[in-house]
Amino acid sequence: MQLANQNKPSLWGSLLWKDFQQVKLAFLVLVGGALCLQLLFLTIALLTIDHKQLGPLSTSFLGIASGTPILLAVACSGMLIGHERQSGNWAWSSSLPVSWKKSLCSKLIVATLGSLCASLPLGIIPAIFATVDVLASYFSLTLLIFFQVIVLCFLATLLMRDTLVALLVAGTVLTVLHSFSLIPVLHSWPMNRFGISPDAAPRFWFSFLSTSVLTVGLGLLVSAFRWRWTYGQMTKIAFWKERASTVVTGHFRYRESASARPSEWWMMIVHSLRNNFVMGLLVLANMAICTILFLRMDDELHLFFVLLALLALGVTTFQSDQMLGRFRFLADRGIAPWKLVLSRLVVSLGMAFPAYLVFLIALAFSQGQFDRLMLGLFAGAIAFSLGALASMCFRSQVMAIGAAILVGVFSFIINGILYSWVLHDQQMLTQVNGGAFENILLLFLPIGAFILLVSIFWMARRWLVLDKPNLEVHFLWVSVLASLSPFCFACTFGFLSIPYAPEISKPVESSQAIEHIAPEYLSITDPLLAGDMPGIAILSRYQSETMHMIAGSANGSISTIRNELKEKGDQPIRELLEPILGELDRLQNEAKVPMSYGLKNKLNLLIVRTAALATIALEEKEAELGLRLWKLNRELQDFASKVNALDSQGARKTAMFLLLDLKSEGVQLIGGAEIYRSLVPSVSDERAESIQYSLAREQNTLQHLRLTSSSAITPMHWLAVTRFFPPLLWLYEREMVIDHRNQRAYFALLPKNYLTGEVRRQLELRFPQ
Amino acid sequence: MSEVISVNNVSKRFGKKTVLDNISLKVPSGVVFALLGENGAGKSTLIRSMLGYTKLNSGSISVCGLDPLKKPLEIRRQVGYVSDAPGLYEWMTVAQAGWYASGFYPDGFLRNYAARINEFQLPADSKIRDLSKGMRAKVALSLAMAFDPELLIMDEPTSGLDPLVRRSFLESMIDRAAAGQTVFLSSHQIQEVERVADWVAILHQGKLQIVSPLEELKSSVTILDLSLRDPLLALPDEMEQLEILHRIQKGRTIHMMVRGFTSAIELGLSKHANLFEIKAMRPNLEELYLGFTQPYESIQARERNGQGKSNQTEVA
Repeated sequence: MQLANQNKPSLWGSLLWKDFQQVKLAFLVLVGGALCLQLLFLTIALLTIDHKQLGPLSTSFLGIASGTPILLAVACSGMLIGHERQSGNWAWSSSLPVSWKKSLCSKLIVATLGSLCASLPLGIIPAIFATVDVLASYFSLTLLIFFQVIVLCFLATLLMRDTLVALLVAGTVLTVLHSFSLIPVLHSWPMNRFGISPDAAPRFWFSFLSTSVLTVGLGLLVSAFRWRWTYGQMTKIAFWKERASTVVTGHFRYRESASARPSEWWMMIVHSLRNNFVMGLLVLANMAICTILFLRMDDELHLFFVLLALLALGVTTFQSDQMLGRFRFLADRGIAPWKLVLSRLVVSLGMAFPAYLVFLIALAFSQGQFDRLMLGLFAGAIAFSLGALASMCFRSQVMAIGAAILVGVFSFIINGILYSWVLHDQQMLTQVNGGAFENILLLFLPIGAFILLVSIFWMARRWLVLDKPNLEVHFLWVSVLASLSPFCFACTFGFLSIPYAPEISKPVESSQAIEHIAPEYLSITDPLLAGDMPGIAILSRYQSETMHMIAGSANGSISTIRNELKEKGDQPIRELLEPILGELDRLQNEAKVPMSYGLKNKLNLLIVRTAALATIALEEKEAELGLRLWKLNRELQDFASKVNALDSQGARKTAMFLLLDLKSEGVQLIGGAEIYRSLVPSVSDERAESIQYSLAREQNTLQHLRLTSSSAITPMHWLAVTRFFPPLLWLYEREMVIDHRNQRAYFALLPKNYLTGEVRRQLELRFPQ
Repeated sequence: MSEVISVNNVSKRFGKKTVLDNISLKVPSGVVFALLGENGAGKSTLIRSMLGYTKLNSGSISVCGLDPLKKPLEIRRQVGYVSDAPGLYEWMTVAQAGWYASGFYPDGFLRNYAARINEFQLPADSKIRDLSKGMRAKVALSLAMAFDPELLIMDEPTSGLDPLVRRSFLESMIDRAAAGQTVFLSSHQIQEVERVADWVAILHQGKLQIVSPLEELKSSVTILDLSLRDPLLALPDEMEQLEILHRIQKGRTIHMMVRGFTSAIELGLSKHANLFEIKAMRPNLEELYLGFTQPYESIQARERNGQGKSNQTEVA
């Protein structure tokens, strides 16, 4: 027989092989997923921006590379200790002649070396763009947190029977322990390179706590492992005296005397409460602690943690039924699948959503962002449903939570990329035109949660009845469908929200639809920048309206501003300027921390808004105010190019276009060509591009094609939905430009946004000569 | 005959519940030793104590001359153990499980294991998760026996096995004992155990009722069926000399299991006017088991407390 001829492995070989096989899948999925994310980011970055500007992106790549080993540490703890204990493998392993020391060492080696080695490929992309000291800083911090996670998660899973509860408790303990030391260090870390920080106090507490946690945790881990491996296998640690069964029995007895027997629904709800209550409370406590801790940071981290907690709460929905196949007890007694599912969901949702609602309302009040309430609510519903579906489809808790997190993060990122992609071709700022699409997306967001919930009921019968239901595959395609459907629906049926599109069904010859913008929108002014930069003013009505929309987007409508300007002079603009200056001070003060998305958006908005306000001020002959605003804009641009060059690229380009489009009267108003030149930011890719664009227009190599709504009708015009399905529409627009290039070198297309009626971002194509 | 297992005054409590109550027994080498008892009698706890998985409240255990709590590793090298629910890794194939376990044992493990799985007709390339309960039990047995241990401790080893394999397996236990190795097993399959067991111990509610070589036990106990002329009359005085282990009375018939029944007592009983028929026979293991787990003392105690049935005396 072949087996008899095989070579016998060594003791270490056996142990390491077994432990590695246990976590192999988690390694593959997590590292593969993280690598895909990095490559996705890199591809998008390379396609959309200059490769020289990839440096600032290194923090995103480093974030993924640092987070993956920590996730792997959690997964290893779950699989090597928690899953082994729950499935009974632990008992068999400990009956073999292998000492607890070797077993512990093997698990630690696989978890530590495996995680770190598996994460090495993730360091390749950051290593290309980040500097050595930044890499060293990230590596040291990652290593420290990684070891702490390993020790605490191993310990918790050894002490507690339920893996998910154990991991949650470990996470909470770690977060609380670090709350007073790690966050101040993180604040000062990027600027001070973690180690040469002048802020000695947080560094001391961080080092002290880290060392203490590792030392104490390691000692406890060794003792706990030995105890569990030998005579502590059957011991159950209870944090409270288990009297619930007697209470329930007593209650049933009472009901028995009152009526014949408790109702089926009552039994199911009580059963569900006993299954999920403690775990749910732990998750909610974790959610509360993380929220309180991370609210200190001006970022969306707290929302991320809360969504993660909701996902975890969703995972608890069916996990108690899954453990040791307990659901079979109910299935064998003929309980209807939908009743079982509903009773579990009612309890889980009953715990999750009141808490989440309170959190959202508190957040809305504290930040004054009520518009995000519904978005948060729907996102929460999707996160919870995704967790619940995972808990039904995966028998192992660790696999369930891992799959749910992975799919959730991927969906979030892919939706974010798609969303940005759509808005990228909208007018300059998402705040102006993005709102319309955001509203449509919001409208379709509940579809994601609906699909997930319906799938849970749909799969319930298969889950209960079949021995090998193979629900993992169903989970994959349902979660992908649920994640992408809101976006696809929003794109596909977005046209329904177009209030007025009279020419939507009128096919017109494409040649008739092409309108040359020149000469009515073109007026060539005197050269203002000696030598390299002639000044050309093209002030189309579109741009003018857009500027007013930008200026008024946060503080009232354009008509209000215009009326106020007429009545009160420059007072309203001055009132607008004061908060901007205040914001700038705050941004400068907070610039030492890594910029959050919120801060980046604010900075970009400030850059464009000051440029637009400056243009309006000059239109209204407010010379001093206009100059002040342009100077402020220059400062903002310089500031942004230093701290956030990549993400502020679009906003800076927009501001430069507005400055280049200034008419000669405007230039004279601010004090002439010399001052005008001083307002143009120093050498940058954006500046060069703006100048090149202006030059191209002056040399008349640029042909503007303004597509009216009728001209945008695709060859498939009979299918109206394709008119707003961005991929098809954009494909058509590009094809049209290629058809009409007429040996020209440079084209710009001004396609219309059907939601707002405004011109979207110009589509520019350069053709090789 | 040296002792492989020695259990001395062992007590174990879980909370307020006493699971093992002052147990003492000795298992000689080269025998098949069967531990019998009802569910929850403490069989698994006693077995786990022998392997060092449970700390005792009092008493001591020695297995192969070693203290299980102090030398658990040495014990695992000498003892093959099959638990009632062997937690094999479900993602492993049958072959991989053997290959993995072979790393912890001396050379020859893989060859023996291959022979075992061949004997049990197990598919080497099938994953454990795809096997039936009985096939998993066969894998666990193959793993426990593959290193040819001096002592084999098995907790319900035949649970899930089909009758043919069960019979073959139990017979192989006799061969092991004949070869000088010791087999300690707990089982509910009393009839099958009877065929192979040399020694038997009966555990009831944490207390050891009897430890004895099976044949000796059988010969010391007699089943008596007495037919009475008048059930209201007292039984003969000779009955006082007997140790009644178990008694059921139905009408004019008394079914008893007694110890100390001799030919002299039989002669005395046969002369008694109230007894018109006496049948004496040797009990089988099942009857012995029932006798020791439903002792006569408890019946008497019940009757004294007024809980006994008047006409038909039900056992306690």
